[in-house]
Amino acid sequence: MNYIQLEKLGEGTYATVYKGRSRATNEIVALKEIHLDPEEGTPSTAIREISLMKELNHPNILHLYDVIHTENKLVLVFEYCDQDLKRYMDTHGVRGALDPATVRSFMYQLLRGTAYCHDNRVLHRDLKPQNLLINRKGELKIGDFGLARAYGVPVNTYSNEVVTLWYRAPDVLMGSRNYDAAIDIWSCGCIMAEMITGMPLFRGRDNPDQLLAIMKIIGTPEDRVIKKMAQETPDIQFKSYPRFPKVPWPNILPGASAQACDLIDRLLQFDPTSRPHALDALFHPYFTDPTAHHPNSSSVPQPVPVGVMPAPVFHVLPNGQSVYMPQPSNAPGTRAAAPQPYQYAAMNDPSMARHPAYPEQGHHAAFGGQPMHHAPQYAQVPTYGYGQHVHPQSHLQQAQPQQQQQPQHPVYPVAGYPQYPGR
Amino acid sequence: MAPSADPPATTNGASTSKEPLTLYEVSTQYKHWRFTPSQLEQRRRSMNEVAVNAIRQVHEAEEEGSSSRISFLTFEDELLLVKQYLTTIPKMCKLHQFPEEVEATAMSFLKRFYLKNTVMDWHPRNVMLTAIYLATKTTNNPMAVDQYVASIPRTTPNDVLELEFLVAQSLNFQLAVWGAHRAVWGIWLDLQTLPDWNKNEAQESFNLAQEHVSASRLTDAEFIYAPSQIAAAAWHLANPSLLEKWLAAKKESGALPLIREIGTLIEKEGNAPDLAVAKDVDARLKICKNPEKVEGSKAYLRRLATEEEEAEEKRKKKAERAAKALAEDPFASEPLTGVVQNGTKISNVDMEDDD
Repeated sequence: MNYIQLEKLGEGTYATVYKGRSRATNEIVALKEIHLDPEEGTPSTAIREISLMKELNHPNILHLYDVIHTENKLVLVFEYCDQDLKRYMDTHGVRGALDPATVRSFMYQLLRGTAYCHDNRVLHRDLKPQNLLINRKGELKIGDFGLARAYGVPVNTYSNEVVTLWYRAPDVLMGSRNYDAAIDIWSCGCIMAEMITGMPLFRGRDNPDQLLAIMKIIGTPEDRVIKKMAQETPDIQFKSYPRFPKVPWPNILPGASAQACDLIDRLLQFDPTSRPHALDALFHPYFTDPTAHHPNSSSVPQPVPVGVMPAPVFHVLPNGQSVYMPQPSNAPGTRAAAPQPYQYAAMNDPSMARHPAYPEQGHHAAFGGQPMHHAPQYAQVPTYGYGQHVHPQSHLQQAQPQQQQQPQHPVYPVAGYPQYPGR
Repeated sequence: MAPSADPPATTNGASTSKEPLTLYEVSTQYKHWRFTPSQLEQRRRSMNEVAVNAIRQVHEAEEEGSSSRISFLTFEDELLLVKQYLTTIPKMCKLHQFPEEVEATAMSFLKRFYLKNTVMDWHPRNVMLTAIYLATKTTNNPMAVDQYVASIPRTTPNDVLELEFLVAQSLNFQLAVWGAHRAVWGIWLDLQTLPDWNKNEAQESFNLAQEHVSASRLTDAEFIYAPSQIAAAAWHLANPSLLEKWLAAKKESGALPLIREIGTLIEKEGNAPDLAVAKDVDARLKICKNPEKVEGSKAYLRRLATEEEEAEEKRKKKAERAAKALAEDPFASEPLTGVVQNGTKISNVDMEDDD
């Protein structure tokens, strides 16, 4: 084999992962060595992972370079990433919490990779920080498709023991085996909250406890909602649950912006049909409003350890949309990459353009926003700080002469953006 | 015959416009498993020639002139035998109660395998069993191998598992297959949106269309046409007027000649071969199969010996290399950075297949 095996990186249920180096190019790779099973030969999880990864090709999906088999083992050669999101949060966060700009960058990449999977009819089913890999350029890659599966028109009867408990959607916890892309969206919401606070959002001990943990935060849904879910999915039995009120997101996520709270609220909808598509979520003001979290805004704390991950820079497109642009790292020992302008611009991505709901101008109607025709000047950006929740477009509504802006009361949920209408 | 790399995919019909690609167009099936009819024939013909020449040489090495007594299979014979085993896949799948997806995927695997290999090297019976087993894993219908072989006579788990790597590698690990049966279902859903839609009539046609799509799996259609085109052809065979209405509603009536062409192919080729002829081919195959692949034969043992020799040679060379590196580099015995990470010392484990 043309790879030299280096140290062990981790051990999974059906594979051991090693760091490796290509003999030909010296490139560092990850070698996932599959344990063969006497009962079934190559494990079906590995076969499924290979068959899906061979079809997927996206900057936010871990790339499968090669499949090698020798006399008695099968090795998947993946692109190498330094660490997973869990480790990244532990080492770079403040008690695990990441700064707003990093959260936004990772969420954008996570949703973009997820949108690509869903667009290719692939459910990941096991999104969690341990399965998201971060390379030294600050790029996030979705990995470990061992539990993923392809889905087609008729979606039915998947195992309901799939997503790791803490990231499992309530409909799955209630027994749904009919789930679709919405279960990955739920996991994305859990991951976003975890990046903001540094702690997993819902920590149940078992299935029923997990459901309670969810209801204690997002509130017990009305009976009408549960009845509707039971009607739509035969596996879900209607039951009365203890009534918990909804806790306002700013209480759970201190310091998060109103837009961040609003996005999380939409991702973490109890009813799966109310959760947005991953692609729609990318057009939420949290991502498209160029004024939020801009690193130039001096009031945004910047706890990113120097030289580890360059702070993501959001560039403003002519239509007012802001896009994430990876920056070369100036850390000693890291290879500087040339900036790739608009690499993450949805408008340049054919897989995004394919979405029927995506109009030419690149602004999605699901969140009711109007395309902004002029990039706002940064001088107009209201001061932003933790605990202050400012209407994302309030600065646009202000008349120009008005210089001093009074800190406003928290506005949550964001006014002016209708709730996602459901599918 | 060793699996070879794919030729560059033909791009007939690939649009040069800025139209976004469909899901099918970014699939490995579209990129690597499409051919023209003449490419298919060329491929099979030349593979057959290469195999016959190689086997002839093995026989000649054993006894001069012996190969002239053997009647080798032509590429048409090979194709017929593969088709015979294609017809057994649906029966096997029914026996195990596998869904249609397994059946369709396994049949594609078997056909793809014999675009890279010849039946004289690998007999289609065991390749077929492995193809089905691999298809169950790919489509998420896994089954323990013991249970799988229990209902198949004269078959051990090892017969199935020993070919798994070979089959997967011949398929270049491109295991996701787009079957026309899904498109047949899609058209069925779509038809229900037509204004003058008659449920009973359409239900009957749907069942017929499914039969035609099953028949299409015995043909080369999937290598030449898109799954949706094959599905449309199956519907057209089942109920021409209904499908033409649908085409008109979709403003795709221009596709009709192509759909008729596929329909003709399905009707002409989508039948099981004559069993007597297939048995005759199989009998001839017993004599002309590659002796190097027959366990226990002289040629088989000779091949093993050669391989062992080569491996020994390689090991020796590597040991020499390592010794030399050690002599030259005073730090060679130290790990690269001397760090212990994750509790494991960095080692320079070699993963060449000669270990």
